[in-house]
Amino acid sequence: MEDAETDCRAALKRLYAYLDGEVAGEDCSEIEAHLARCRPCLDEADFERELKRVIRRKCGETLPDGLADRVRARLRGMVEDG
Amino acid sequence: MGEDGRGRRRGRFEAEVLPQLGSLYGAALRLTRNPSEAEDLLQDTMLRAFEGYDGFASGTNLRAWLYRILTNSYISSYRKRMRRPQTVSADADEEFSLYDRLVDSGQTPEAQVIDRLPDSEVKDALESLPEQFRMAVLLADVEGFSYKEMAEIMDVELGTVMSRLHRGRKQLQRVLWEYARRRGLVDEAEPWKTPRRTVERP
Repeated sequence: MEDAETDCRAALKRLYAYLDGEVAGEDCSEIEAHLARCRPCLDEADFERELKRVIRRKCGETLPDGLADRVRARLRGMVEDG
Repeated sequence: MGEDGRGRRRGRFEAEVLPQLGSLYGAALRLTRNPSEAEDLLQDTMLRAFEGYDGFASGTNLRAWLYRILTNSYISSYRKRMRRPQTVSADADEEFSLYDRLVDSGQTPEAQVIDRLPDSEVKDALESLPEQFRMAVLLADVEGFSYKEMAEIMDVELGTVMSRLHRGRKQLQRVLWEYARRRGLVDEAEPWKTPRRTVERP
């Protein structure tokens, strides 16, 4: 089981970089092969991927009313002032 | 440049840059933690960007350039006002795994627990992180920048990006766990046990 654990450690070490789309080529295939055969690591990868989505969705903001107009007005003022 | 030239430049700037206002505002709000300061920061960013627009090479990375200006504006103007000292805590959180905690609490699917937290609490959790970690998580997870873009925006090495991001995520996970516990979304009666997996985390 030691080998399998070494694989897990190697995969988890690069999990964030992998989920961030920062692992390419052979390294990427290695992680994907490991995830395909290791259910616990796959579950963990799915969780981290979903957590990223949840954070992104929940931290979204909408621009307050009138803010875009106020930005435009400042820019126009600046252009007119030279 | 004549009146017409400036007007054309402004028109081009507005067409290219103003569509980014929404996401820039979100970042400004997470950094300043205050809507009126976020608006000031956004206005400053836009004025600086407009002034530097001629030096910006068209076709290069506009978003990264704007976030870099936002970050620098924030550091030079707003951070000074902050009374709260920026303490970067020891690495107690390095090994924290929200996933293991949720698995042990018997909640499945695990990510849904966090999804049940109100948006405002997830925003609070992110805002509770030390600035450098907050910035890293914000740029990667909310804004979707690559590590290379983040290195440009934060003006640090790639390795620093990765370490801030890792530590930021772990700290955020710990805060999210605490919030979920406080809300009773995870079973507190069950004492936390040794994780089922003993794989060493990076």
